[in-house]
Amino acid sequence: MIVTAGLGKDYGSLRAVDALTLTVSEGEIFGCLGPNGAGKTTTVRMLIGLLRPSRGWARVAGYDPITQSREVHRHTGVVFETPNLYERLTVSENLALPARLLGVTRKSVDEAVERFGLSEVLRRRACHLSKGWRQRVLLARAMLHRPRVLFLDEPTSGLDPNSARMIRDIIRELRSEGATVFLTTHDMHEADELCDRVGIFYRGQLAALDAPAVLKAAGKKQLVVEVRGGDGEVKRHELPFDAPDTADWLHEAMKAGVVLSVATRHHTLAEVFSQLTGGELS
Amino acid sequence: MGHDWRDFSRNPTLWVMVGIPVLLSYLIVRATAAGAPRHLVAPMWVLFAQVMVGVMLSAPDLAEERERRTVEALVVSTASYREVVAAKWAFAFLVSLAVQALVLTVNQAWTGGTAALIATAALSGAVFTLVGLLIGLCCGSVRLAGAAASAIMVALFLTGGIFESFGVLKPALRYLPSVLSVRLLGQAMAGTGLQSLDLLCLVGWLAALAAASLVRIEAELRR
Repeated sequence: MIVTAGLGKDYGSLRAVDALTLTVSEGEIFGCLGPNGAGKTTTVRMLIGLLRPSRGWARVAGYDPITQSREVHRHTGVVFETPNLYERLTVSENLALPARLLGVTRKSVDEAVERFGLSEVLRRRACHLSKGWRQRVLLARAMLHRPRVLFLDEPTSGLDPNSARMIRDIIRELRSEGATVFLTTHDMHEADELCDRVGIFYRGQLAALDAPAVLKAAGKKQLVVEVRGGDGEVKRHELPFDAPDTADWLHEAMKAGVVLSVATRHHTLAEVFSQLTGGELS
Repeated sequence: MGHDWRDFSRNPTLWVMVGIPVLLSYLIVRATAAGAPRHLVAPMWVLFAQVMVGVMLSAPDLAEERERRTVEALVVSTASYREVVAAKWAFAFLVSLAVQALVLTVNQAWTGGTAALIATAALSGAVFTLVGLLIGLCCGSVRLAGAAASAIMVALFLTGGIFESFGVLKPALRYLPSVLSVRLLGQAMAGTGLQSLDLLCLVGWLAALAAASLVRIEAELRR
């Protein structure tokens, strides 16, 4: 559904995205992860035809985002990171214009309103909506024409936990209906929870690409040891599983009879990211 | 267009901008030029309407769309960027025509040749709306667009009104669109017919500004 080959974008001497080659299958939720400035939004903007790539090419739903942008837009829905609603217009009016441009029937608009529970705010101006409501309106706007591909740029950023959960539920529903979702986020938990595969972006490059479970399993294991200290307090130690010193340390602790439990655990996605890039997530 | 109207109608700042030329022209024309012929006084205030609406309405309006990225929401709904910008221009142009008509009406200035007056109002309105559009396309924020539009609006209005007092600069200023507009409006109201040179120069401005706007739009599309 989404294919890129050697896709790249430069801003002057800054290489914002470099040699991005990936394929996202139909019905997949693909997570595009990375800290701010990693090239995630630039990638999305190239895929929806708002930015011209400096190198390489992309196809979305089989179309070139630059030369066939109208076709791409007919098959894609976009929720931008900035909640770009017309502030002085009502929710209803904010949905009406894109609906007209997309040739969407009144019935489809009503369905979107019902699906996203917007009936009670239809006559409210966008400037009076909370962030959670705005996000719902943005999703409804992106889904008006039932696109095959959805680009969601940080859809839960800054939302309260309940609103974020609601948005995640909607994303799952969309997947179950067969939509392909390209989800941009820097929230590792969200990616772990929602995505079939994730691509970890760092300084414009794809540092890793796989299912979250595979990425976590490929990371180094940690040995988690709980010991009772001299003051009776229980202390938890996390040690690298395969480091030579770890065995010696554990041996000494067991000899001293202070070990309460020993377990292993895989890294989280955030730790995998740190390992891969030496950087930190924002 | 309906969408632009709804957005416009709920913005009090824009209503003030539209109301000022009509009210101010009415008050000042009545107070200072009771005995003067309409064709000597009214063109200044028609120009005021042209620059106030054309420049001050379209520049921040387009800059706001770009700053808030609402324009992108339209572009991903299959409208092209060129179409969105053209629609914004068309809306501001129509408002400009309506306000000019109001200024002419409240000042009883529909004198001379009506066709020539409408043609001049349309041509000048198109020119100044393009000036505003170009500012909106070049400025990255509403604040910057507002500041640039204010400065250019004042400069255009002043040169249109008192260019003859600028001494050695007069021959050059005479070809500014504001001066051309006032001259053409005066000619239309006096019923003397429009001077070809003035008309051609204003059409030249229209072509140049339209070309500059297109170049700017293409540059944005090539990003």
